[in-house]
Amino acid sequence: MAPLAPRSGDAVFANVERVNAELFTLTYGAIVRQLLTDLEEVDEVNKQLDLMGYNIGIRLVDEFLAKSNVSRCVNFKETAEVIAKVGFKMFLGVTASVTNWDVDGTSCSLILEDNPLVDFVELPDTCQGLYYCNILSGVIRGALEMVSMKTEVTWLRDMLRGDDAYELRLKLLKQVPEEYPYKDDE
Amino acid sequence: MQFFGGSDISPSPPNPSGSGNNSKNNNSGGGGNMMYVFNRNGVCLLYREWNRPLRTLSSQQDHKLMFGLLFSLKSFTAKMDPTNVDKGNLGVPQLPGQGCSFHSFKTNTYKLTFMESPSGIKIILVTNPRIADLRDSLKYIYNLYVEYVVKNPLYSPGTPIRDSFRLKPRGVEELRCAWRLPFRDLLGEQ
Amino acid sequence: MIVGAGKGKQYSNVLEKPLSKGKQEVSLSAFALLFSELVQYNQTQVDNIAELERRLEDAGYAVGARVLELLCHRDKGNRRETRLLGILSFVHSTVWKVLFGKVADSLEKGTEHEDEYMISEKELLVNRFISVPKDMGTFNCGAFAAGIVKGVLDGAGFPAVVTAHFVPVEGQLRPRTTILIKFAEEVKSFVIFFLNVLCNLNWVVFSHQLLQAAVSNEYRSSKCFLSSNGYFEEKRGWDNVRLSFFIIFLKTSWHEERRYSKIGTFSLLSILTVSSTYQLLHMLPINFCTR
Repeated sequence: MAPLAPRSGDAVFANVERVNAELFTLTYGAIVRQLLTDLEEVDEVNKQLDLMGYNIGIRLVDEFLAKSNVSRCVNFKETAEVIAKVGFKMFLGVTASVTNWDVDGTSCSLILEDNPLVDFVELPDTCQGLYYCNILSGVIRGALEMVSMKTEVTWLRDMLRGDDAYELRLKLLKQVPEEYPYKDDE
Repeated sequence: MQFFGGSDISPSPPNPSGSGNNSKNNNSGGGGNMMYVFNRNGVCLLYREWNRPLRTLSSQQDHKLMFGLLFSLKSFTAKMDPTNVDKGNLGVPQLPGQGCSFHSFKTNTYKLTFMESPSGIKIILVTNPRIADLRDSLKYIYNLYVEYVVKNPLYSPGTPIRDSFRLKPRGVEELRCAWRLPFRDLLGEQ
Repeated sequence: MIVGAGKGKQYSNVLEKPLSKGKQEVSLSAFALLFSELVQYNQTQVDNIAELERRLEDAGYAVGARVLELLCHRDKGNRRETRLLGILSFVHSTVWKVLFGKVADSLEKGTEHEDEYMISEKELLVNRFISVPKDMGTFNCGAFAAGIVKGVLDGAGFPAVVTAHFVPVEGQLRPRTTILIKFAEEVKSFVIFFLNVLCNLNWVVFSHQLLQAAVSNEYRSSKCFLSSNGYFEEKRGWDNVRLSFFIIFLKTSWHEERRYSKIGTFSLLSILTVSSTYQLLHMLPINFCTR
């Protein structure tokens, strides 16, 4: 029997090595700053942040699986719960809540009240279109893709843009079975 | 002497108390024959062999064959599962984690132990058939992969793991103590 | 359903938000993965190792400059170190402890050059998970940490060239990382120090302390002396440089102290004008601009 997925990431977070969130926050800030200098266009920066998040996600999933003892999730609902309660806690030390399920159980909202990425941040006038935390949506998309779920992740609310919380909309597009990767040519 | 014998192997590196035997064990090849690590796209990330006197295929064909063997075997074993209703169709690929999964098989000349993570990382050890359960060892290798490959800033995901380093991974020392067996070159030890 | 009421408080601007106490943590892997991506992204932007290190240093610099502001504000009551050894030990202990969770393993003075210092770490956090393939030469992720150090030092008015190096350790498979700090030539000039003091501290209070310090035994015992026309002649050693400054300060403001007792940045300009025999004035605008 596979071990049951832990209901909260507290124990995992307590057991992993941790660093000061400010190092993390400021390093992330330095990345965004670098992208703004390199790419100039805010839209391009949003795209690049999402891509970088995706790249992190495809690595992060193995770290998550190795350390969290979550072996598999029955359905998308459980997956979303595990991301919110275990995933966010284990990596960022905060939890998210899952709400607003649609009737099919294929899309939901992740709501973050605490977000270590945005400490010290205020969007200047020139960057109003920036989704500062866009890396998060990429991470979730990348990690889920590695466990065969193709998803679309978008920001609904962003406190840096004056909303009252951070809300990510998570939509399951399809489950992709693992395919035989080689073409039969020999 | 069996390298994988009995309770000596655990997911955390065992106490290197027996490392005095190092020199004796180095050349004997021990119980391990080959190890493979594949990712979900069938890319062989790592291949190591310690004792493989007979080799007839090119390494590319060899990797393909091994991956194919596992792929079909997984599908067959799931199909034959007497306890599960949801078996899917034979040949139709399953979602990772779906259905049952095999973890080892044995022939008269070798034993193959297999582990797959939900993210599709497959780790395979081919060993002497008399060897005990190796699943914990595979889990340990998975943890090493996460620690020293996944988190290496210079590693690009999906590419074969380099084996010659100017600066070696932190784990090499730990491994050498812990495994004192052919695994010593797992991470690029000469 | 209302979610997010309570904890996720809104602030109309970032300044209203209370400054965190710096106790929050994230997992090391979250940082390691973010850092990996920083390296991976920058690899796509460069075509050689030196350039890659420079870009990592840039990113680190941004972190360092902010860490300095943050720590001086939060932990040191808006004061910051104005002495060279002070700022070095601030980097080695305070900054390191906050960022990397521990004091750096060692802080040493270079043996060959007077103006070189080294901070060494057995296993620097950013080098923890790295293995460097042979074709990447001497690449060292520590460039990021070097950038942080540079950011802190620059921000505090001690411009330096900071580089990261692997140093083999006997009996160890992995080398330690040494951050080499080579102070810029102008750190030796009093102007920097002068401005440093000026921008940093309440002048009235400080001038009093300064006078005391200048005549204290600590400095009297120093080998430095002034020649009759006021040029300082003994140039070796940091303390001497500092002393020279003190004495120049004394000479230029001794008789004018009353007039400048409420000295501000502007009136200090005139003090410097008084000491223009030292030909320092031309450096002034540059340094003021960078403040």
